[in-house]
Amino acid sequence: MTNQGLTIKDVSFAYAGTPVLHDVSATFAKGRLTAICGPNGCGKSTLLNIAAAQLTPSRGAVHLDGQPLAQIPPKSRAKQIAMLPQSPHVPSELKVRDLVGLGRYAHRTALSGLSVDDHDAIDAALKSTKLDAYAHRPIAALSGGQKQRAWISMTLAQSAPWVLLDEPTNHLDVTHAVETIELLWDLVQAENRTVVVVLHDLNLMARFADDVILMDQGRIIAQNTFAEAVTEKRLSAIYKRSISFGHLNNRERPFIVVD
Amino acid sequence: MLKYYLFGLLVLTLAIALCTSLHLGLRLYTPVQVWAALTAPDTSEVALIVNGLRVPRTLAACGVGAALAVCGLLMQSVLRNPLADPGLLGVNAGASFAVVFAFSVFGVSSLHVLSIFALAGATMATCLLYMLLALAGGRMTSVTLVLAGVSLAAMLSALTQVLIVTDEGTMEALLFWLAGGFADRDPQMLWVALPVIGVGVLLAAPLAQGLQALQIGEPAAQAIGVNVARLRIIALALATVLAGICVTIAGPVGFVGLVAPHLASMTGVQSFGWRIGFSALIGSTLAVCADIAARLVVAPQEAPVTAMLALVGAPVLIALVRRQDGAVA
Repeated sequence: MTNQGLTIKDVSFAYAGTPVLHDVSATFAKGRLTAICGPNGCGKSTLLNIAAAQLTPSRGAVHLDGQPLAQIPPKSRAKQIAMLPQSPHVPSELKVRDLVGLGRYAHRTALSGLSVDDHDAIDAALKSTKLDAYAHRPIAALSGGQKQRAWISMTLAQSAPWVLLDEPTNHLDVTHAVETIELLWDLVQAENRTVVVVLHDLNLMARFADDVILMDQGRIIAQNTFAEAVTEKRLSAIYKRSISFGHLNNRERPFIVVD
Repeated sequence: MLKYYLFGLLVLTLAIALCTSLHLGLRLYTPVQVWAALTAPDTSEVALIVNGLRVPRTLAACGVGAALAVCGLLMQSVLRNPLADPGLLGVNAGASFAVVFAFSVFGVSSLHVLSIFALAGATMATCLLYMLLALAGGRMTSVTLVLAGVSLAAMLSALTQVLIVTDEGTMEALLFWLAGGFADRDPQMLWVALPVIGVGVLLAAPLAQGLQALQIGEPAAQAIGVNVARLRIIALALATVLAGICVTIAGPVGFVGLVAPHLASMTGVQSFGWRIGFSALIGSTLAVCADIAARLVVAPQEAPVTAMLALVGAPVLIALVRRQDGAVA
């Protein structure tokens, strides 16, 4: 049981000599939506990038189902873990379907075209991101929210059980931000995928996260279910502002108010 | 479907350019004369000029054009820099320097040995460039990379000049070659180099998917399973070999590698495999046309092919830099 899932053990990391993570250990439980939250520069993006083997830790190890992540070849890893980096570069002339098709890279051989499986996965990904109507439009013609959905769609087309996303709601208005997280929540519920997401918006976290990792200054402050991990006292300490919970009658989860 | 038509059109254009190249020059020949010279070569002036001069230079232009175009495409996509070109980045200058060095210091005159020096010089320049990139930690912008390349090229050219000036015999023999061009090249070398170029262009095909994925940036490409480090090394090595071969055949020829891939992308074709083919065809056509123009513009003298290519290439470079600035803003 201890070997299952994606585990990070005693990981430290430094950017150009500046330490960013200090002896961090974390476990991402399967079939859950985990949110990583914390103030700017707390190391949450770095943690996510290390979990996806995008960065190599200076110390410590990352394991996927008991196997060291660094030893898994890139294509095999990509079939297990899909990761959407922060604000990726958009080649504007590319069509939506072609972008989503790039997600199939790990499933193809060097000279083959897209197989029936590839097309099915692309169609399914376009459908779950509600982009089927836009499949043949160039990325440049999409709105900010649609662009973000196109990237998520590419990540889904990868057909990986683990989906890691770095601030997918950045630059989105409230509607699109909520819809994006709802989509991720659906992935966990309907497709039984595991989602780990770095979030800035505490209210999105409070509404949707099953588990929460709170970080501050390169360390994990709390890691547990939402109810256990997130308290007014902890949030206030991390963000150095007075933060309190509010409640609506029809909602189980609190909303978060920053004074 | 459109891409098949476009491909056909490009093949046809190249074929027309190749035919034209056999007919035009200081002396104009009719198709009947050229056909006779090709099918039944005798000792007539027509046959000697067509078979001995025009066929080799046309083939050289065709092969070098394709190789430089694919080389440019590989460099542009793997460095994610629309301005990358073996000329601008100093790879040609590295190959030229090595050839002049071998010729003047070791007295090497065999073309086959010189071609090995050209490859070594191209590799050296690519490695230097790669080190500069690594030192910048991947934070280098398109324009600064090109500035680094141009500086590298200037430094290597200066060293080449020093070698030439200190040895007048070398100057005589090499100035012609250093000017770059397709006329009066050693046909023996051509028969070795053309198949190598063919294989090199074909070897680019399996890299197409990875290069396509690199369009979305290195982190995202890595996330979808591309082994970016390996892809970079293979693609740059292939580009270096192609550039080195081109330098041995034709001397340093610039701008084809820059312009052809952009013309290919202007066709709107997204698939990288197709883009490789389109670039090669356009590069060949450009080089053959430039070679024809070089014969005609200042006849009976020959103009330098590199000047013809610069006339087309420099405006494209300016347009690209302007678009880059726009993209950054």
